[in-house]
Amino acid sequence: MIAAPIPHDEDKRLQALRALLILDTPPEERFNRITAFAAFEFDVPIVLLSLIDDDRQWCKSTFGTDFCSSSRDISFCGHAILQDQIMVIEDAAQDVRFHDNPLVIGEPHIRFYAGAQLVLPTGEAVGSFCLIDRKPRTLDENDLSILSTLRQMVVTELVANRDKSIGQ
Amino acid sequence: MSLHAYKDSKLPLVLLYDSEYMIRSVFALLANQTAKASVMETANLATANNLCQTNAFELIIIGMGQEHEEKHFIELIRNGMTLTDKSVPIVVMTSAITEELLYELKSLNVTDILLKPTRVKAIHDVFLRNIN
Repeated sequence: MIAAPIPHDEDKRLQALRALLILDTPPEERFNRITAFAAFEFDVPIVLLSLIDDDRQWCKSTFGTDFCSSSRDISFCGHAILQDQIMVIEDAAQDVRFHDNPLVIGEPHIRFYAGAQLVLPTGEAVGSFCLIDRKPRTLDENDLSILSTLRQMVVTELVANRDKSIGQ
Repeated sequence: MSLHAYKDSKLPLVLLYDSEYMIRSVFALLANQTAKASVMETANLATANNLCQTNAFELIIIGMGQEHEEKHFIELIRNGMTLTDKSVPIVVMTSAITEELLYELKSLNVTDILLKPTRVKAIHDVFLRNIN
């Protein structure tokens, strides 16, 4: 397993994440409806809206799992926030970064992962909106466009939360 | 009333009427982000009708309700009672299709029928088929 690397702008990234005032807050319908929609749209059993804190991955919204957080070094999303494009792992069992990852060899037995990084308008990648399956999968160009659209809706909601807090 | 429009005069203009907020929002944003269409979307039938009086759409996608009251809206379009060309492709999304409804939709020259719940990808596919 290769642990998720640390971005070069980590301090700024963490500052932007914490300014959202969303870590460790309860589930919210405005996010849950996007994760539920993605699960139906892509026919995947698990969808996560995952935020990458300094040493953990924490999920603001999940579909299909009670999974709420894990250590950052084993997280797929920790890798996804470093990629400009959507990170697609068609079969984690065949990928040198993930084949012996605890999330692959144990619960939730990830085989397929597609993570779209959540980039704020100010440029910081705070997390990932991701699709997970327990069997290998592929995505076509239209799938990637739809996932990117859902990612944009999530970012809009994240920023709306921050702007509302600033306005109060 | 909910109405979002991503209007760009160079792109085909599409009307999406449906009660499902996520379907409307995701398809409209997808079409905008991929620069394939300008989508006007609404959950209100009267608004959809008004939009057809003031815009010439190149594709109309209609989510059928339980009472099928949208059939009258399609009749208005097919009878040339709107600004939209009466031969415009019309796609209908419905949760159930009876023989009677199928006959009625065929007689209204509906181009495609999609079963609900509908995936955005399916709407996108019929959109590409009808616009290109």
